[in-house]
Amino acid sequence: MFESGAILLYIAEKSGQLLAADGLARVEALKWLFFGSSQVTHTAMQVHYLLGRKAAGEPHDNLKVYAGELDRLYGILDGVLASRDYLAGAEYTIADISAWPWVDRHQAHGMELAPRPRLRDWLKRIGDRPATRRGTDIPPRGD
Amino acid sequence: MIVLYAKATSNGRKASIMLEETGLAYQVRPMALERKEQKEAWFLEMNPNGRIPVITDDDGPKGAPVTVFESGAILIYLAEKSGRLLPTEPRHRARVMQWLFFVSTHLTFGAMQVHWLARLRDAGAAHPDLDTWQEENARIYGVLDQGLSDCPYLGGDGYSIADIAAYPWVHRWRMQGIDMDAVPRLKSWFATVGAREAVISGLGVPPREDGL
Ligand SMILES: N[C@@H](CCC(=O)N[C@@H](CS)C(=O)NCC(=O)O)C(=O)O
Repeated sequence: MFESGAILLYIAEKSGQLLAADGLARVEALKWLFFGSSQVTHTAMQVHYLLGRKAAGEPHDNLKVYAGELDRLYGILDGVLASRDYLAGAEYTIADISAWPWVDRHQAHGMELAPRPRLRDWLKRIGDRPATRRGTDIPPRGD
Repeated sequence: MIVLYAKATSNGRKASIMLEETGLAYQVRPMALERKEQKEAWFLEMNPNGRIPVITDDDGPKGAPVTVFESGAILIYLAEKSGRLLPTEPRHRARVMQWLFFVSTHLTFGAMQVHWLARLRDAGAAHPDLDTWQEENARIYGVLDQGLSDCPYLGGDGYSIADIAAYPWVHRWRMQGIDMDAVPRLKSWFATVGAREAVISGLGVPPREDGL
């Protein structure tokens, strides 16, 4: 199967981990899984791509638009984390995994985390997980 | 009772078609996007992203009230609530999820970009990116056509939430400048799905005056 969001759901359901089988916790995780997979992923990819073009000497006026939109999305993530440690609630879920690798690139994307302290803490909380540390370097990348 | 907050846009119609398919009782609260009702505080409390569709269900999981945003999450929620249009057998389920996510990400953003840029062009403010996004959107239609090469529906033999997520975008193929003859399997899928009663009624929820 392809599509990262579908792979996350598949592995969660196969392993019985990181996604509640039912109840409000499941619905909450699905909402933020789609938010991460669609809104955050699409917007961060555009910023990533347009920054690449800028670096190659082809600036594009859409960069400002997408960077502004990404900042708005960071604000939404920071907002929901005001009342909980993870996007879907008290537990770490596949919703966090869908957004984390993009937020982890905040510096490269020119995003400020200082005004988003809860998002910054979340980034670190998840970044400290041994599985996150192992997973970010699979397959290993030379750079 | 379920309440659907929406306008009959492509993302809104994913939810309205699903509600029609399941036969669950629901009410509609039409949203005036042109007046930016979706950015008002009461709405942002339900969806901090300020977008439709949103549903509320006062008889949610274990009887507790629930609010759901993101059309993909709404489709899965309603499928699991009703026990319909999302197989539980893992192989079949994986295929439905794969296409549900493909459509929720690639088709949704590709087609949305084309709609936005085509509207700019029609307003006399042509944007150079229109060609690029039209090409990308046509590529995505090609991937869907390929996905239908061995089965009548995106998720396999049976109609599913993956088809519901795709249909409202493909419904607007003309505006996207798509040549449907270049994607014959998708064209026949489009006719089959478009003939369903629930699809026809769902497209009109809430009713829109411009006939789109
Ligand atoms: N990823 C969201 C996207 C929803 C979306 O973009 N909705 C549009 C209508 S099709 C909207 O609410 N636009 C109004 C706005 O952005 O203010 C979903 O699938 O539900």
